[in-house]
Amino acid sequence: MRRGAWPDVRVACVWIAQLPLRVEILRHPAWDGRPLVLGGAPGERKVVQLCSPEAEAAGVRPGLPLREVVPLCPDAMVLQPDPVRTAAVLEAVLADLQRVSPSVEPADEGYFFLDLRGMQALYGDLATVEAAILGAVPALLRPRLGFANGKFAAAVAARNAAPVALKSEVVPASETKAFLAPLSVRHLLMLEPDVLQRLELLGLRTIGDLAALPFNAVQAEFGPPGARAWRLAHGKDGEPVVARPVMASVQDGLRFDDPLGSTDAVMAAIDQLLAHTFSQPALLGRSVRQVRLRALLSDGTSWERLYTFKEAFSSRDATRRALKSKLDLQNGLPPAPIDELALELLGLGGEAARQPGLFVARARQLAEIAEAARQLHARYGRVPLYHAIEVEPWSRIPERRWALVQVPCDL
Amino acid sequence: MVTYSRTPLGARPGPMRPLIKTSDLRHQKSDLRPLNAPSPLQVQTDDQGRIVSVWRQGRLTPRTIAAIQDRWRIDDEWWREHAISRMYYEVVLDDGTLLTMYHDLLVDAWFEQRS
Repeated sequence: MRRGAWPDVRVACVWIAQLPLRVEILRHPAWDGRPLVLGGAPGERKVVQLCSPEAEAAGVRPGLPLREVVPLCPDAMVLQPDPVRTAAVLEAVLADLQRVSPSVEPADEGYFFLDLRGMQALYGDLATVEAAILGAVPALLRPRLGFANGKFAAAVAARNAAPVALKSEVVPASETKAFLAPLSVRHLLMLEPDVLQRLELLGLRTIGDLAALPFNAVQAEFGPPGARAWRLAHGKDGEPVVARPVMASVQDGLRFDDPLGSTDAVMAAIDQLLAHTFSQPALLGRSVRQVRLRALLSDGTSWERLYTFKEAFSSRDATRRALKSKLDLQNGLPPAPIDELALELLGLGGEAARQPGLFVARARQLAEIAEAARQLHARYGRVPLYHAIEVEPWSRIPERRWALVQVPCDL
Repeated sequence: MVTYSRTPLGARPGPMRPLIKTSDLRHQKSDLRPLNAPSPLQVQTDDQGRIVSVWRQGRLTPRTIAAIQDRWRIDDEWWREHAISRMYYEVVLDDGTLLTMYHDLLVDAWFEQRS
């Protein structure tokens, strides 16, 4: 490939294989080259989720029970998932890649797609783009880089490329079909596993084999996914790079000298975080639909939960009640004491989002009042809610006409 | 024999009169609080017995009565042990507030009440 010029490519793909393991290596560079195994989080199945090539060489495979790892590979280090740090690294990589191209699409399994249209005037040649991209991703993450005319070919090129410091794979538009032809149909990830198996049973082992078939026959046999696969096999990929939409959020965090373990202590910390976040101008007149809690735990792991509420809240108290009900559930709290806690309010909407209807049925009103009474009783031990009843409406003495009666919990 | 307080309902703590209807008996276990209960009031009168100023509960200063808009008398429950005899006044205070108050003629005390 000509690397000094700008071949006919419009997408760059950065792939970080085995991202959770590479994030751990980024934290502990000395672990690079050692057999690493990612197990399940507490409460999940005790099986291998990911393993490094070194562990794989010793016979460890994803899905293997963790108890069988050590007999196979005595040097293996079994790690727990660390979703918070992994997400933080992904965010940092995304932010750095957005300095290379304004349109970056993060995808699952460590893929990032960069839209290169219009970038030639800025960078001049592809080698400069390559250097900029690789400069944005820490080398310890072992990023692989592919350039092509479409997202699919770029992702395949990235998977085929050597890790950083060697060279990236460049697939110009005119060479896409030839590049894909000898590769296995297993690269067509948009096809279901049973469809891939059927392709292989039919003797169609490479993408070139699929491309050689008539379009109508493939579409008739495999439906829309098959038609899309056929087009991709011919190098026809018009899928645009869709940058992640900017989502407004408000967040704050706390660090603790003494790790928090009890629900009460966690709720006290959440109270403080809610007080600070709800006082920020960005939340003025807005409601909150989601809350994300992230925690770094005293055992070195992390914990993350995203709570989506049935209705939007615009008050601190309502959000607190909703969060407490989630944390009170079984397994609602992190499995270890909390060193650091971050709270992020998401799904910010307008105040109108929680405006009640003009004509609300009485039954619904009663249900809402009963729910309020139940919550007040749970919190204060009594129900400070009253409704007025007629006592002697005919009386000439004003205080005899009406009285207030406490709303019962079981309204 | 049951005795009842002469104090108007809600004016001070004490047993309440059984005023509720049969249909509302289920509410008896709850804390039944009279709505629109009178609250005590200090009233200053002139030499001729005309009301001049009122000092409402919780207020720092008394207010002068600017005008008396209406007055009416209620005599009721004369058949009970404690009859009711009240002279109501609807007055306008010097700050423009409209106030309904009454003079309990039996115990010679003043109360504020929304009519």
